[in-house]
Amino acid sequence: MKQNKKRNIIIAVVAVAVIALMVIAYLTLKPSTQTGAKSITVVVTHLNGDAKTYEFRTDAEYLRQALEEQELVGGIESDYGLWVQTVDGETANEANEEWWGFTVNGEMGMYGVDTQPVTDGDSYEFTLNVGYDSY
Amino acid sequence: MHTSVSSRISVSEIVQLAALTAIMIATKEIMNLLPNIHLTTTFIILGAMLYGWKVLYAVFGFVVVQGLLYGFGSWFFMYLYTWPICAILAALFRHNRSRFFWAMFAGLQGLTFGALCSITYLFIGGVQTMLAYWVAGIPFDLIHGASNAVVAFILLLPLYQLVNKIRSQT
Repeated sequence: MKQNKKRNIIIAVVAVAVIALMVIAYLTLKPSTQTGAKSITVVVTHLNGDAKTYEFRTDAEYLRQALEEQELVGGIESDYGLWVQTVDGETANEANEEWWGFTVNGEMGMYGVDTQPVTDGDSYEFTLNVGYDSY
Repeated sequence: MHTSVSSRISVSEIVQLAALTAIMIATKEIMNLLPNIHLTTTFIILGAMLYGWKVLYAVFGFVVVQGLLYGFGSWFFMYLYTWPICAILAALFRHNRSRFFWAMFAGLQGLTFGALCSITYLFIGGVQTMLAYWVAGIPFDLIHGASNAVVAFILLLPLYQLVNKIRSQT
């Protein structure tokens, strides 16, 4: 019984320490955002190869909000934010292993749309890919 | 009451572990409607309490079926070690019957899930990519940890007692 109590205390202390570490890491390492009017470009490359370019201004801190303001994306909520299924009216057909990926200023996006910061002058390119091996 | 576990696996246990795999998959699919809330960790702990190390059979079954359902992407490699680590640690403490302990255990599993998954990105893109992946997911990991703790606190011991009751009647 005494050993169980000791274990409970140890695991509670570990949990508090882990939460503290995560909060500190998030506050110090999270991607910085810009507030105020920002001008961004979104290029959408559809499955048939057609590309559409949208240039607009936004106050959004993160990409999801900016895209939703323009009604450019849709999808379902996942463990890591919005799982983008539809961009510019075209929905990825998962039965054919289609998926939307995006680049930020030509580089592969490291975040989801919920956590991708929006910076003035950014260019985002969404492409409908086929095949999970193309990841 | 502690369940004694033989080192050899019986036919009955194979069936029970297969049922546990099926329950983990079914509840995960249903709970997909609620992001970051699932019963998988609670069922893995329950399996460890009931079957000891043999719960790993159910865990690997669960991981393989997830791969078959969603494709064998980079996340599959994450699942190959994150869930077994959870099962191994749960098996180590399987005689513990403290509701609080298991709630904390499940909470820690949720809190560290993103950090464990990010290890895969160390090999894909280096330390920067790994850190970026982990940090971006921290808000979700915090929700995951809290929901895991609440679910385990409420469901684990009643489920354990229920399964033991059923087993004793058969």
